[in-house]
Amino acid sequence: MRRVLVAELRRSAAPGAGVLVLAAGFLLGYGDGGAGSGGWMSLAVVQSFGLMLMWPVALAAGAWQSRREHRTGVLELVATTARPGQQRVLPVCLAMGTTVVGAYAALAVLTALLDGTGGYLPPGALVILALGAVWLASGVWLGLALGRLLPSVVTAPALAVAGLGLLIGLQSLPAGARWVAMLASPAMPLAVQGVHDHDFLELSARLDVAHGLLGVAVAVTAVVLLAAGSRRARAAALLPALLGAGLAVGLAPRDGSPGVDGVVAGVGVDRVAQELVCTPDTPQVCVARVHADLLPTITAPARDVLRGLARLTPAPTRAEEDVTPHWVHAPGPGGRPDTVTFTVFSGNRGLRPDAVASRMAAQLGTGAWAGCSAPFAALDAADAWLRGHEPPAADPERPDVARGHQLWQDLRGLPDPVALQRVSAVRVAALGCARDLDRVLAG
Amino acid sequence: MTRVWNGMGAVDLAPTTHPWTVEAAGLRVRAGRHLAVDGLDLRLGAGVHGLLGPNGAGKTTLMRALATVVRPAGGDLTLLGHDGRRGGDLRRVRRRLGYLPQAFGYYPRFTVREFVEYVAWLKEMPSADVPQAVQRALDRVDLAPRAGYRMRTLSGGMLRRAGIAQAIVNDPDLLLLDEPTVGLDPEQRLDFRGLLRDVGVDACVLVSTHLVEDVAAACTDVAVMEAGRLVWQGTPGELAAAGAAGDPGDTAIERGYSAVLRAHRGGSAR
Repeated sequence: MRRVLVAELRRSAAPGAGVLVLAAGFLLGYGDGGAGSGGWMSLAVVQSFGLMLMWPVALAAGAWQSRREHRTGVLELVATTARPGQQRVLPVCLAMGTTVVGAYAALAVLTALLDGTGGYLPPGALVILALGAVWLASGVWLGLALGRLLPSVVTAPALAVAGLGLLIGLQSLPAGARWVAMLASPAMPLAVQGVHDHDFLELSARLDVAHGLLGVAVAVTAVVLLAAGSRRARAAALLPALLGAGLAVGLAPRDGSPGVDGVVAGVGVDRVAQELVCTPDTPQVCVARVHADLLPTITAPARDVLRGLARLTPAPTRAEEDVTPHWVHAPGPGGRPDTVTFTVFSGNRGLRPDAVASRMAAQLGTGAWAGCSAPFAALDAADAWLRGHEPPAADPERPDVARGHQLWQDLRGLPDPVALQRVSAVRVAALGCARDLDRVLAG
Repeated sequence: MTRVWNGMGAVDLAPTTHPWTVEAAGLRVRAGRHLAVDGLDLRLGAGVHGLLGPNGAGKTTLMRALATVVRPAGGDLTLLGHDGRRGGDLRRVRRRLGYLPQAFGYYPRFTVREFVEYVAWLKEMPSADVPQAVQRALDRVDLAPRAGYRMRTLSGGMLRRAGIAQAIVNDPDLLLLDEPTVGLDPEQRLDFRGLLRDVGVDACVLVSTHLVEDVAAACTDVAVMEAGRLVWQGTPGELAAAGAAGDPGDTAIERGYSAVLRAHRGGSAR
């Protein structure tokens, strides 16, 4: 068996399939020059994105390989040998599965290296990566089975197009039916539409089990179908898929998770990823656990911002990442005057400390706080006064800019202690979601 | 005239528990909708048996039935002491079977050694025995120097020898060779006849061919088919003796073959 497997690994379509799958995944993941944010969950989702192309390619590669039996005319010889069909198909299944899953794993490693993936490793990310591997293997085996049933030169390209169409169709399902995509799409996490930042994403265990069960059922059906020698056996091969589909549908969560944007079932927030990791010294700077490896980069610019706000009363003494993902409808903890909040921007080019600091400092350190949207004019005016900058005088598209300039001029006319008191009051009011900040600034 | 001769010596020496390696009675086999083998009676023991007959006589269909590729439509077929029609017995038969089809299919990207190893695996040989058995098979067909060549790079004669190597890799008790000498040059055919004689000491070898001189040189027994039936069986010497000077053919055995067919056709016409 080992020698036959090695021969199949070298001589079948397996090596070509591996290269094609790797190229397809790389093209999709890096075609636009960027991939994930450097977190493991983002990496898992990028891999899923790659599956949109890798899975149809694997399907087609399997069908192409199956044509070999018919093209070369070995079936007559093989039919006279003792080894049962289910054993006979094992080497080619293993060879094709090994190379496509190997390519998938190689792409994950490559992505991790290019993105500098590291830090907090949620088990959910590993589960998503493993599920992707299961579905990719089931894809190549399904291709082998369909290629055997339809041994035509057009089967492989037709399956590639059909597979891609199926995945796009699943992604395009309306919100009410999106649970089907979560269950049956090899690129399952992509069906979590509206979620662009995956660092805090967590999928429910029930969804993982249901999705994996269906993937395994498809794989078993494909292998049995490939080994089947009669019509009855081919019909029986559908049983695992039907059984798996039934169980998976029964298991799959249907209702949207409370507080999560959209109606996608089985999607939640990774509470461990949200836990704060802080500097041991003061002024304290804290980031989410999932971004802990970025803390050394963020600490210095964050402390610069705190120093710039030190004249305020009360002055903020700590900076903290807002760990509530944008796709969660949840009231924040409320703006705390002693804390400047910020969001972490990262990407394939790495974290940009200047961008973080700029957003952190804006509007008296409330700019990145998404708890409520305050009117800008008073905050802009107060912020400009504190920094000693003149704000823009006018903007035809934003009338509040002119209003802000007027408020800034009013502040300049006041004695410094009075102006500072009013600027401090505006910040506290903004964090309390007060609406009439102009009046606060006017005293 | 139908004569049946049993090659006694080889049978007696063979360590078998069944009297005949191949035993067919009233065998009927379809080729598509056509009944290509129709009521054939045949008994074969150890030795090298030549299967002669004109095109369309049913030779290849018979070979395919004996190789368990097609299931007989009727009659009885016993192979190596097992029912040749029952699925459960076929696996045991196939382990002891070697078969070179008329259209020999192979994986062109495999090397010769890899392909023969693959067939050895398909024949459920113990994995520890495979490397040695493959080397021996390649040596016997004089392909060992080309063992590392891809199958697609082989000439027609080499492919035929590779086909014979895969057929004999498991030292089969029943070896079925359909047109094995096509593409072989005269020297290779001489070597091949030696191989047949060697294998035929212990095993039952059935060689379907149009080359009557191969039968004369290498076979202990000859069977002649016509229209799906066995019309004559005997030794090559008896076949040669069946012909007369006026019968068509360049050699005595060719004249004998022509005479046997004519006699059968004449008998059928009457």
